[in-house]
Amino acid sequence: MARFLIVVERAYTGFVEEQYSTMPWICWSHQRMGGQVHVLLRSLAVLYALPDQPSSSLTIGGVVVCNTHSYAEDLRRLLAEGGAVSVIREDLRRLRIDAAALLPGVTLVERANLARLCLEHDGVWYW
Amino acid sequence: MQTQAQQFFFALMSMPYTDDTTTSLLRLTEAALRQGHRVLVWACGGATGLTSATLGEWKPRNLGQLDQRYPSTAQLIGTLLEQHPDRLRWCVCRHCMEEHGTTVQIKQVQVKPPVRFLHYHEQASVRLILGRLR
Repeated sequence: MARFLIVVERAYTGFVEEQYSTMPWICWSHQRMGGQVHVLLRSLAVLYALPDQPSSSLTIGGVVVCNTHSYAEDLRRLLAEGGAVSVIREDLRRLRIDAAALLPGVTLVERANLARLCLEHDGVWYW
Repeated sequence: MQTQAQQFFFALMSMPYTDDTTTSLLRLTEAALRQGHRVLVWACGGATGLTSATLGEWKPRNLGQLDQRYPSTAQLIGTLLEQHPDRLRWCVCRHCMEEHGTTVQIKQVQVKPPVRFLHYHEQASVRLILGRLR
């Protein structure tokens, strides 16, 4: 079974353009379709691994735009299906987030070990 | 305190989906209109796709939440234009529109040649250029 490392760096883009959390959702879908997915969150995307994120909405011209993003829930599903989720430790520290606040099952990766992590997988997708 | 109505010029240069500039622009536009100002939005590059008629009024169904309807950017912008026909204009750069293949626009949008950019820029008292042209 091919193992893929999916690096997600850009976060919270396109509030009015997108209707759900494309990246975590498609990672989970790949896992369900039989892939072996390891998601690596870096930069602001490490925030995806925080549980209990509030949903929000916006009204433009009287039209309500409900944000149905469910980053943490999609990652939780990915973990439950046997996938892996990691975050870069230095990015977490930079954002002053305690590792204990992350979803259960999320692991930490040192930035210096990134190259080795890439070599442990059959493919690396940079999203 | 009532402020004097001003002419705003907002240019949207960035590609949709890549950041939250479109959201910021729409919030700025609505806030300016709410305060009685006039707004002209100039959409360049990939931003010309925000008002594509082919988007329809609603986004494709969310497979994770089938009961949720989500408006398209074309609907949001079209609604704003219908609510403020005398104070809001949304101009699409013709060159960028053709470059990006977004040639079917919603009827409320005005397609303009690139040279009009500076004209509208000069006419405005408040100018803001958002995003990087892509």
